[in-house]
Amino acid sequence: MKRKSELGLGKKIVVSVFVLAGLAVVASVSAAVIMLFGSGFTTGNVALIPLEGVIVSGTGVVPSGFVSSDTVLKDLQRAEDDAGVEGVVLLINSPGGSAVASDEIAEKVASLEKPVVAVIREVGASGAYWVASSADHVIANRMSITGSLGVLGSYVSFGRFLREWNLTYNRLVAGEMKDVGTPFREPTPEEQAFLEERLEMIHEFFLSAVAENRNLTVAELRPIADGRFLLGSEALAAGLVDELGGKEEALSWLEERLGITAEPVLYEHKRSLLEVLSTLEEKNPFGLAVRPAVPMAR
Amino acid sequence: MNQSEVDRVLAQLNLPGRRVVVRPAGRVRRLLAFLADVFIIDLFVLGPLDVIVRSMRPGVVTQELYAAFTTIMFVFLGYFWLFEYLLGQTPGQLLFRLETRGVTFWRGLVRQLLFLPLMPFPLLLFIEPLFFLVSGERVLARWTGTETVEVLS
Repeated sequence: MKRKSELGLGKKIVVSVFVLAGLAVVASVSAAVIMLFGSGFTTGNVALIPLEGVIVSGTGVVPSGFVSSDTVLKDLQRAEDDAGVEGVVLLINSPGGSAVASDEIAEKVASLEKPVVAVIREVGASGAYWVASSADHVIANRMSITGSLGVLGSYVSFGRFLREWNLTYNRLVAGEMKDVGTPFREPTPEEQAFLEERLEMIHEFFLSAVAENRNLTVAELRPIADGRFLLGSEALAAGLVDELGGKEEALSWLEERLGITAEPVLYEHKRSLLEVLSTLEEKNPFGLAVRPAVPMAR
Repeated sequence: MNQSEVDRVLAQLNLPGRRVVVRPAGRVRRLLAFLADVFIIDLFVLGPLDVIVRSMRPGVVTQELYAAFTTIMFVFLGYFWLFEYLLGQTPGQLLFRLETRGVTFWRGLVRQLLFLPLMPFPLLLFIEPLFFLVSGERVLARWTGTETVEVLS
């Protein structure tokens, strides 16, 4: 009987090509799966995490110009879990957003064991400043818009419009305050007071958190806590930021603090097809603008 | 004159048959054959996975790196198993005139268990080279009753 190794060279070459091709296919498919489902490839020791757009909560598709707290929380957790990452730089360009979502991110930033630097670029106001204040070091450009320590709950009501068009809002509630804030009628004085009281409570939570994060007292914050925004240079004087500068200053601060040579790695997000379509819809001039209907720390 | 006529004439000549000398393969030759196989695997198969491995930070084990490592181990297992089972020798062994004798489908698989990325098999990655250096034979080859030989003809 002929030994396997005595097969002709031609047959050996054919078998070899098939075996190598099969193994190459297996390796390629595996590589594609790893790249597709992997959480990305970190090659640096400082994670750059963007916080851009209006901060909203939720896990669904977020239109362009908005950022979900879930996304930022995942990025922060990823940086925390990555043994190669030694520090985090939050790149903030946001006017604020949902009070709850901002608080969620701020809590997470404060709980990270790795040092976090917040860099406020064009805007880091209100809820976004709340997040920034929870970092170990806050940097802003001298012209950045920051501060804005207030809470916004304004909305448009259509009550008069409906009446003029002979439309009736049939109010069916069990509990007087059940439809408080409905846009289909003007609020009663009691409802107006109720809503403002809640906004004041959120404002106090906001101020307490910022005061604690910045080692200030709420009394010290009061003069600038009327919702006004501050430029970066003013915020430095008020104790809301630690340094004027940008990303480079943030990396230098981390290098000094950690004794490392910073190798930044940007945590980018692949946009899903739904998100891309959502962006296209937003660019359609006849599309409806989506705005969150929750109290906004902005 | 066709092949059968050539064979008939050669038989009538009563020439001595081809002499084949088979002896246990030497350590150096086997090591060179193995290195040639590693080179072939790296050249033709592992390119896509190299991209992943090279993009990783040295010293940091991530899930992606572990997945890439697991795939590489399976590729090695498949390469040696399939070639030894189908051809009786790997391309590296072909270059250095070595053959593996006694390989069946299952014995061929057991011979390569050191590449199976499940404990305790990876321990064989350390045991096998030590055993090979001392005895000139692989542990799994002894267990499976297979042998790598050098063929001189």
